[in-house]
Amino acid sequence: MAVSLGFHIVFAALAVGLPAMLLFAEYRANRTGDPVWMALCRRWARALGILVAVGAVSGTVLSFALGLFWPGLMGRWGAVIGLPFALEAFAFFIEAIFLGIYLFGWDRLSPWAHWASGWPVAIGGVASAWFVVTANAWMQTPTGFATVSDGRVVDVQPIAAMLNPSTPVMTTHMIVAAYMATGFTVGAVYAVGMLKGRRDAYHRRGLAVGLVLGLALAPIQIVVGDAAARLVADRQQAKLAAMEGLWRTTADAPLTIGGIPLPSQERTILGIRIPGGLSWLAYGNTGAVVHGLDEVAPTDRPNVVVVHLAFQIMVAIGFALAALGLWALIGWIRRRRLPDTKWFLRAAAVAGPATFVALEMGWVVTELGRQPWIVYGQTRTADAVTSRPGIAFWLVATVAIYVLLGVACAWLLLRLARTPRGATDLEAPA
Amino acid sequence: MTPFQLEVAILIVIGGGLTLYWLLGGADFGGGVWDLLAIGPMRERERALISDAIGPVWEANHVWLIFVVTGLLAAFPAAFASLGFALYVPFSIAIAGIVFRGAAFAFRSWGDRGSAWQRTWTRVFGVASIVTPLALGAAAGAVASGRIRVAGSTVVAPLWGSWTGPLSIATGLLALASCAFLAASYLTVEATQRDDRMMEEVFRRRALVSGAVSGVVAMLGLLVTRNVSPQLWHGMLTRAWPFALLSAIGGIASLWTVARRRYRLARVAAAVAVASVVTGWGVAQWPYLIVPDMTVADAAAPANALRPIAFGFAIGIALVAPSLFLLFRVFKGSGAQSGTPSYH
Repeated sequence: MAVSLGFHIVFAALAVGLPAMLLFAEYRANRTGDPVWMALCRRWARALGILVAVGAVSGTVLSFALGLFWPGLMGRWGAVIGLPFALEAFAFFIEAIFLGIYLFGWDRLSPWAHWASGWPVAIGGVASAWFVVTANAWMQTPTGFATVSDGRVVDVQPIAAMLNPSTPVMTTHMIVAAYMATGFTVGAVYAVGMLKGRRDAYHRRGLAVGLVLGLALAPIQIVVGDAAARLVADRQQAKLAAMEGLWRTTADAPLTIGGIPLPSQERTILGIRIPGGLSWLAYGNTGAVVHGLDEVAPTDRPNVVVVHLAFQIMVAIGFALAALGLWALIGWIRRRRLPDTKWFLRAAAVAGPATFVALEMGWVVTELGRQPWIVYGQTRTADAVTSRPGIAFWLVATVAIYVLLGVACAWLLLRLARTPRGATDLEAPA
Repeated sequence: MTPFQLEVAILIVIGGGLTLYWLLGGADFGGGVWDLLAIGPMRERERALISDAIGPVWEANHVWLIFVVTGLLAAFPAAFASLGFALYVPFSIAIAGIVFRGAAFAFRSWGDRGSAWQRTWTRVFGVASIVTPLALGAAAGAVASGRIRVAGSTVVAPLWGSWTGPLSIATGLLALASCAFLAASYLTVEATQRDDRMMEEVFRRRALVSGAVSGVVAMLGLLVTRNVSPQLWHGMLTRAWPFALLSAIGGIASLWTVARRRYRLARVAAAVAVASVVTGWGVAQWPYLIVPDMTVADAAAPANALRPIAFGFAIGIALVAPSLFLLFRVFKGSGAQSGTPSYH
């Protein structure tokens, strides 16, 4: 399940973000009649076709997996949290239907009608992401029910569960991340092309559209991410402590940047400490008390090493991307165009994969930071997992299948990126 | 509306989703079956026809399954959890099949003609298209067979035995044969639209064969039911027989119309047959969702949860129905002209 999600998130993120870029390129193409815009649009559409196909099947796996691997979760909580999954099906329906029209309808619709058919794809994708992340947000801060003494769940309010305290921030964080990942990935493809000497209008524009989207969102994401962390500080103190590698409850808690937590000695070494920094970030006051890991029993702690490191990596990448944005902005102010020096292009090329590392790390923080709970404070992961044999086998099989698909998909996309821009992209349909 | 009626209404909508998945998604699997069986000098032409027919619609068709699964999860969480546990193996096989079918279909259109890449993914596409309906059909048979026992929150079902009984074998084969029939009969329409008489004839013959096989398997299924599932058989004799009759009429009519080359009419007849099998199945095992222990009322989420689901279904269907209409009008309607889509 974890593996499926970690895999799905990559395809889903691109499938959420890419339609918006397509809409922009096709809008420009229709307005200006410029073949370069149309070429970009066609190329991205083909990539989207592959990504959504893989995203659709890996998403199906997830819907089944909820029952196959987590009967203890769904049997107890399905009534509370099933709603967003059911609604997500409709959002995905809209996305899939119009994607069919969009991908195969080039010669069956007028240019503007075709453009219009891309909108439901973009909106459906964002809506799917929103619904699914509400379910994850609920696992962090479960609301919308009451429990009675024998553990039964009563007074179910699915709408309240969907709109739990984590929903606004987490859904925003994820959707912005999806757009960033898409922007930087597309930018990276063209940055690599330009580094190889293909510095034509096609590559320049591809780079510009991707990077501008990603870079514009990078500072916004820092603000959203900060809000997300403050929410964690309020609601999931053990998780915050793990993210920050804070072992003991303290006032004036320092912000530890980097560093390696040592669970055996209950301290974090080698980090840079900013006095009072964590108290200030979490509660807006350098003197505030921040709860440490010592407040929860060792068995109730998440894996501090992994969560702390994952969080540090995610934040570091987030700031690096913002710095890249500053670099681009300075270039723009000075010369009215994006920098195209070798080093800038190299940085842009690295930014693409880096956003996915950040995405996965963020997911690791969210999920592992919540352990040992699957529904925070309510159901332990160990109680929710199936008692069927062969989970280990399935884990290995899932990894193997996804590696195979991932490699095949990456190979295709690389091939797509490498194929010279030929007649097929520009040719008027027969 | 009282909660009792509400859960029934939601179950009917989910049943409708299942019917549509069988009719639409099932045909896409059937296309994969014919793709695998395509041999001889015309195989590339057959495959091209199949690919073009499936290409624009398979993802949308596939979402019906997601709709059924998530609808069951939200409205009948107890049944969802029990089935996930009991049918762990067939569902696992089905999702593996789904993953490989979808990915293989997307991947194979790339790569050079006749390359190893294309041949391999074509093979994968075909095999996955056979395995998935078999597994899903067997799982459906298991639900009706009475081999999944539920006591309180404990589900008792052997890992393998619950879905390999005679009824499951019959339903698995019925699913496969009917998917093949649906695909072949739809492909005759596709072939007619592009004035390909030869392909029309090829798939007309296949539709007749697979349709006849489906009919035989369905009758065997009834025989099996009489011998091994007395409870279900009783429901069939007392309540569900009109639907059984209707599905038989629909099935025969679809064969007859294919034989007479009235392909569009054949689609309608096939839809009637499939819809009445699904309805008849539900009516025969009523009031049980999982025979013989879990009733629909037992499995349903509380009314508080059902109301927003029903509301969401209503809005969702209001959005999806016209969109689907548009999709099929663009690609499958009489206005859709021949010619390969520009996607490739």
